Amino acid sequence: MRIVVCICQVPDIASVVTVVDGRIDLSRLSWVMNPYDEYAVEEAVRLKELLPGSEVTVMTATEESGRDLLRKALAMGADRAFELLSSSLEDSFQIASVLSGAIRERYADALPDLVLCGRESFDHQNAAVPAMLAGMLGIAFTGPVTAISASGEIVEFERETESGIECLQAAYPLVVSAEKGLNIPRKTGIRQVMEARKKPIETISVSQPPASLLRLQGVVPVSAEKNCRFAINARELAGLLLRDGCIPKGEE
Amino acid sequence: MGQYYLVYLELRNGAIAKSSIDVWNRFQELAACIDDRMYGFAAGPAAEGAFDVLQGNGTIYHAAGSRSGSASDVAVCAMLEELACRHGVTGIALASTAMGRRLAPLLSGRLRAALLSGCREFGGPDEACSRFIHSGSVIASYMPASAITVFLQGRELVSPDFCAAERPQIEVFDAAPYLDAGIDVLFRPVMHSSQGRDIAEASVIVAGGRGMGSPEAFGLLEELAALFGGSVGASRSAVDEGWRPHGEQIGQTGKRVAPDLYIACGISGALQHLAGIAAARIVVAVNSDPDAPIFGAADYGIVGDVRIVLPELIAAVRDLLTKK
Amino acid sequence: MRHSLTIEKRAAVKEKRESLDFDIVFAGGGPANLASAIRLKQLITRHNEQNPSKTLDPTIAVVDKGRHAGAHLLSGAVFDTKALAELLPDFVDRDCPLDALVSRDKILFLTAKKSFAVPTVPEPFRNSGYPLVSLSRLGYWMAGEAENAGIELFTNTTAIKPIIENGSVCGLLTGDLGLDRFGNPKPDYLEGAELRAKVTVIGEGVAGTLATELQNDFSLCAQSAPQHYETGVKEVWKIAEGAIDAGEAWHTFGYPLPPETYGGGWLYALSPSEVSVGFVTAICPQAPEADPHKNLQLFKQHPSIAAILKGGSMLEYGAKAITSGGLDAIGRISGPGFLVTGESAGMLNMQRLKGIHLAMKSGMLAAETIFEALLRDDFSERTLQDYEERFRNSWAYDELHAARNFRQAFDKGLYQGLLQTGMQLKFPGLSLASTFLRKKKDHAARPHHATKQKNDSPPQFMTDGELTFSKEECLFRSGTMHEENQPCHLRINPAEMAEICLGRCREEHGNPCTRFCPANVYAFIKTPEPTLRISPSNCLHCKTCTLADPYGVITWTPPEGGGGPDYKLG
Repeated sequence: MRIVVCICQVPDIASVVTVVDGRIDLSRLSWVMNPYDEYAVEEAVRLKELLPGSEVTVMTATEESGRDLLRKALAMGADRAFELLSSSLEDSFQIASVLSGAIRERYADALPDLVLCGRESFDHQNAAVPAMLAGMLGIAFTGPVTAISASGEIVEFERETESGIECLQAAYPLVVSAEKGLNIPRKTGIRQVMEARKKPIETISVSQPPASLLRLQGVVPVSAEKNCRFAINARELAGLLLRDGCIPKGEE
Repeated sequence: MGQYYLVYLELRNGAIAKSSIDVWNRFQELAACIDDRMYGFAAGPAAEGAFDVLQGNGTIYHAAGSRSGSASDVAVCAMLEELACRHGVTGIALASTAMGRRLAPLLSGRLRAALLSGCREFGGPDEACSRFIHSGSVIASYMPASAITVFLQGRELVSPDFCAAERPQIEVFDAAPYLDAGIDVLFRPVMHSSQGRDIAEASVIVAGGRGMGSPEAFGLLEELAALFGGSVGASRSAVDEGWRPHGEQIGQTGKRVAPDLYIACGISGALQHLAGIAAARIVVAVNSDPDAPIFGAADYGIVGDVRIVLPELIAAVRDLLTKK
Repeated sequence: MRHSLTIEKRAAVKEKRESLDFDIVFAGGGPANLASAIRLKQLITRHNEQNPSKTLDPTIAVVDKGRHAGAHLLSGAVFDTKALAELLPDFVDRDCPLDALVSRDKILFLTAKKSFAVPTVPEPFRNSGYPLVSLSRLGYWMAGEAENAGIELFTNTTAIKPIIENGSVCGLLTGDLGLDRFGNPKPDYLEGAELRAKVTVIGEGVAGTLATELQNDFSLCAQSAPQHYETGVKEVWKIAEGAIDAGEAWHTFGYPLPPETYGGGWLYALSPSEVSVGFVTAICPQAPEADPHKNLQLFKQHPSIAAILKGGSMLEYGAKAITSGGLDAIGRISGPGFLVTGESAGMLNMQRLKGIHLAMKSGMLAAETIFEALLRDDFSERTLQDYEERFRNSWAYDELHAARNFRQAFDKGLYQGLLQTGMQLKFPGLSLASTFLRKKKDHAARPHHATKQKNDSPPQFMTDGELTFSKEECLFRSGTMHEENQPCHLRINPAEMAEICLGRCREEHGNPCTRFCPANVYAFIKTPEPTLRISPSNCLHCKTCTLADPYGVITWTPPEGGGGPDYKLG
């Protein structure tokens, strides 16, 4: 099976995102692989281990070097990597366009069987690229999945809905996005890192991505800090909730 | 010229989803100008009078022909596209449901339409939309730069109090030409169902963390949640412990929620957790550690052991409910 | 359904621990080992150019526990570029990340409200012309240089134990990944590997895990004076331009410390809009009362410091213990199969408050020793011992030696009075030994002292969230992060927890760990049951707890690789 995994990097959870001069200060952030993308890479590598002869290709669309990110995916077991350097990646539409362009180019004869993405990126949380990518490639999109079982011809997967878990079947090719719970990504040790350093990373420059559909107008920092009022006991707390209209007036 | 809005109305078991009604009402409020127009689209079988819950002017297209819940994303998307083109729609709006979250970006990519999701302030296609990014630590505002804008709305905004004497007109939409889109996922029936509502849609969430001490203690949370008509959530630690299912996890790696009331019990309040509740309106924290960071993000707090405080709180809330 | 769908984890066949062979392995990726690795590679390259028929191609690996190079490095710092100029003479052209050059030195004696400048700055304290630097940025840059030279650098990797066979070190063991808090393997468990090497170079910084074990196993410090430590706590601030000229370097003594406690502050103007402000507090098991974090907060409240920081914002917070025993405390720095470099070996000149250049120099000398060993294909203890000789013949030794002698001069000299009120910090060679003895005597009278401290404890210090910050607020700016579900890396055995922590230590010292830890790892919880709560995820890897714990019950072990602070300006 031919699998493409689209990954990106995000600030790690200990990074403090601050706004300086009306822009997000990127200089103080540490970057890691988007955790949802780790699930996607892990699932791809597991499928490869299950279906001999499979190949896992990772791609990242990035404005700056994405080599560290790609090396991490290679250490996890991906076979080859593409760094798609683009001059502008302002919104999900541009990112999906760059990715779909690269996939179409690399797989001119036949699209890959599976394109795996993370549910969403931790930083912008749009959860838009996977579906857009499916639309652009003209293939079906499963939505975020919590389990996959694949054979050579058909894939079964589970996804969460408002009313419970749906179990579905689909034929290839397919875009799948990885939800938490899909797997537990493996750790990489020195041997895996050394092997990854020998695997190929190709850089493709994308000079003219299509125009973005969203224009960032500005950013403002948010303080999550609230002034907590401590109640002496549960009765006082219930009273406060009543005052604020939080105690239901019967049937909602 | 006015704004022409098309709202996707999700049918669940023959009824329109509450979150879709909220979106319909919000756009009804927005479409206040004489030139503005409202359209709705629903796919799948609808119960008798299912559309009676919708107020205001406009036309609702109902593609009843598709099988129950099975109009595929691609088919629904194609039908929405057709309606958008037919009427020169400027804004397409969907509720942030599992299906809405798949459809909106799909539509956005196919129509080259800007996607605005999770707006915290709302102005329509000509105005900037602001939303949380970076785990709720920053609000960014975006201006759509396309002819059509796709809106994906969850609980970021309070439910609108829209009221009108008029009722929309219902028209039948023939789904047949769209059902064979060729690239569809085959559907098999739902295998099993989790209990209760999706926490992302709940207006009250009672959540527990490692401080609950045991999976059994979550019974108290269920009891409290039931009093409010709410749902139970969990922190990452509680899910990692195997006490609660992944679907209930709130935080950066779980769901982001926006309830009117969020009660955090035995949750220390790691940044990743707070990221998931940035949009919650009233936050209550119960924790035995007065220095727990959750109190910094809470409106009200009680310092104490959850196993002692919660039964008292349940009793106090029950008292208030019966007094009413 | 779920189970049938989920692809089962790859077969968990228990195999023999993975073993990887290198020629040289470096434990720790700080200035000492990175300089060493770069130097070694330079020597090899030159040799290979000159001897094309007899080339050397050893495999060289550097492991570091930080999640990127430089993440755990922290210093003031005024940087003496002497060693770097020897290592990479064109370091400026290579974009070495240097801040402003020191333009003016000031030594200030502080009282609570006033400051008095020492009229003439004595020679050893003069920093004019040296660049200010962030050690973590310098380390990151050096790591890039090392990787470009062909060194295999492995971040996120802890060295937890030396491999000792037949009385000789033959590599190290890396830490396991994916253990839960009870020590059971999680689904993503990855057993640590053996990294085997002909020479293992230990440059872990202060109080290293491997260094400590080797010191015990090979009695490295049998002949040397006891080591001494301080804890430095540092903040980097963005300030309004115009408050201070770039390149000003201030050192202070006095406030907020009482005369009998050693310590002092610094303020370096890295650029017109960025300053490094920090405070060094002596720590030792005999006097564990210190609160290095609080001292820095009080220091910042001093009018002369507060005026500079006013309206600014704190960008980063960090803490690190400092090895300050000087030359007399340096033991043997080589042994069978291993060499010890940098601060692990005690290469720090507290008189000049500098160690980076000595660390780099020691690393370079180690590299020369290893190169000789590679040439001769002889890695015996005898060959490695040449390192000691090289060190004794180097300027690094001379400098440390001069710093030691400086003490006598000062004892009799002009600054005797100053020294007694607190400047000793800068001259640890000076009177730490005598102080140490004095403190020991104090220790005998401890119960009395402790009672006194409890009764007239000062009014509680309140932070304001603008100039001064609580430990929790500070931690937010340290980038520290650990996998939560892993064994607690700060080990206190349960019996000692009950007997010492909740018993004796509580009575005699009031659990000083809750104060001396600058990361709020330790907290005493009264209800429902008295407990010493340990929050290992807060840890900044500064090692203060192991060095200041009065009963020696805390053992610092490396947590899972990648955990710890994320210094960018450290």
